[in-house]
Amino acid sequence: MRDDAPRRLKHDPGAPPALSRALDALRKGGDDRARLERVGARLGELLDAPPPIATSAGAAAYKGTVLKLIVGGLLLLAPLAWLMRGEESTKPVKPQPTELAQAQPRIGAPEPPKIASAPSAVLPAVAREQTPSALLGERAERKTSNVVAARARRAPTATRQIADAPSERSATDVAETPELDQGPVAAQEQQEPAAPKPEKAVAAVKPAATDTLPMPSEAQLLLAARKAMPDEPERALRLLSQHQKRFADGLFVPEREVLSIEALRSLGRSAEANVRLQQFKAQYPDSFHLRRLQR
Amino acid sequence: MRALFDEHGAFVCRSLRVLGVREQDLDDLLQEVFLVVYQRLHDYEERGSARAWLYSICTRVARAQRRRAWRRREEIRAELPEAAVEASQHQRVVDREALALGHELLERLPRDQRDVFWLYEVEEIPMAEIAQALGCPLQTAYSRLRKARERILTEVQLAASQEPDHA
Repeated sequence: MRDDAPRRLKHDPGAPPALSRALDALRKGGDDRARLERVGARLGELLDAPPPIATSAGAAAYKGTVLKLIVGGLLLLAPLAWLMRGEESTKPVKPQPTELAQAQPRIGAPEPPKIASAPSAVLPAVAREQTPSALLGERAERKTSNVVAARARRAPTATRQIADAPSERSATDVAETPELDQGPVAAQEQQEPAAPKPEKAVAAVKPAATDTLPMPSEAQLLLAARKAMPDEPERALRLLSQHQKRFADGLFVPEREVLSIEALRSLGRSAEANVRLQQFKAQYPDSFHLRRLQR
Repeated sequence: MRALFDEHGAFVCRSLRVLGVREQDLDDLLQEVFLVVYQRLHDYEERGSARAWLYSICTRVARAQRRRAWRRREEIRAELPEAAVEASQHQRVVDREALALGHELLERLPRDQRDVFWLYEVEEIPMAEIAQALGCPLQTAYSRLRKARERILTEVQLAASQEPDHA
């Protein structure tokens, strides 16, 4: 296959030495072993988890996506009829994440109830058994106590929220994520304890339905906080607190704490920052973040 | 999934760097890439080529992050030198200089060309797989490679003429 391809520069004796060295350095890259270990540990069980769709069924389900999109389009053309008879949506052959991903963002839309109930009816049994939400739920139950204990005074409800319904939190999160950069989430934060209605409908029927989306949302929440940090540390702090509530035992807990400490510092709340730093040290004595925090 | 991570994690790190991700963000984005990978494993089953496919995920994740970071690029510039020093060894200074040059050269390429150049010249992925991952015709990929090479060679020659005695 490569016979027709042009010779690579590294095999080209005419290439400038500086370029060869640069390419060679790029090829080697940095030493990321420690990083891979860290992130591998954070990904944890996910690395060994079965894929969201059973591998053998994956290809078939993937091909079925087009059909389902068409069916979905037809359903959208007749929203009223669909509203009356939501069971129509059970027709898709083999529901899978693509469809869920489309359905979920609508949960927070103006007319949520009818949409929210539809995907729940088509939840794949496969997904229920093999979701990362389930894994995270387990992790939450296992680790939340010590993670949250340190911050109990700040987020007394975090444990309950995560342990009770990780996927319902993420359902809202999906709906909100696109708005993170615009800022409304921060304003919405105050409403957090009163969860939007559709969540219950979703979570009641399909506890693991959000398997494809919750975790990037977690990252996005943190990234939004990080983005807000330089100019609006207060808002960053609110987003971080939101993260703490939703993802008390999320994948980015150390990062959240680091950002929180930095936000507190930039707000001049050094006493709180120090308390939090001590908690962080106790929790993650070997964290590479400590070097950054202790500068 | 673990096999992908073990085998290609380092590649993902390199790719993210090439895509402009800061050292301090690498952990997060590496993780985010593999979260996406997890969600799209079935897609991988379909496509076969792991690294090219991973790279396409890296580009999306990095781009999303860069959009957010773009607005505060002054801060990023201020942070970069500090972050880049992480884990550096004195004896690796030369390597790091070469690496920095490599990144600089790649940064100067238009995105399309950089993707092809990186995957072909550095990661040595077959062009057919690259074209597939980038979603462009094979000939387009070759054309981008050619342009990228021209540009990079020009840049290197320019740099050499500006700093002839650097050593």
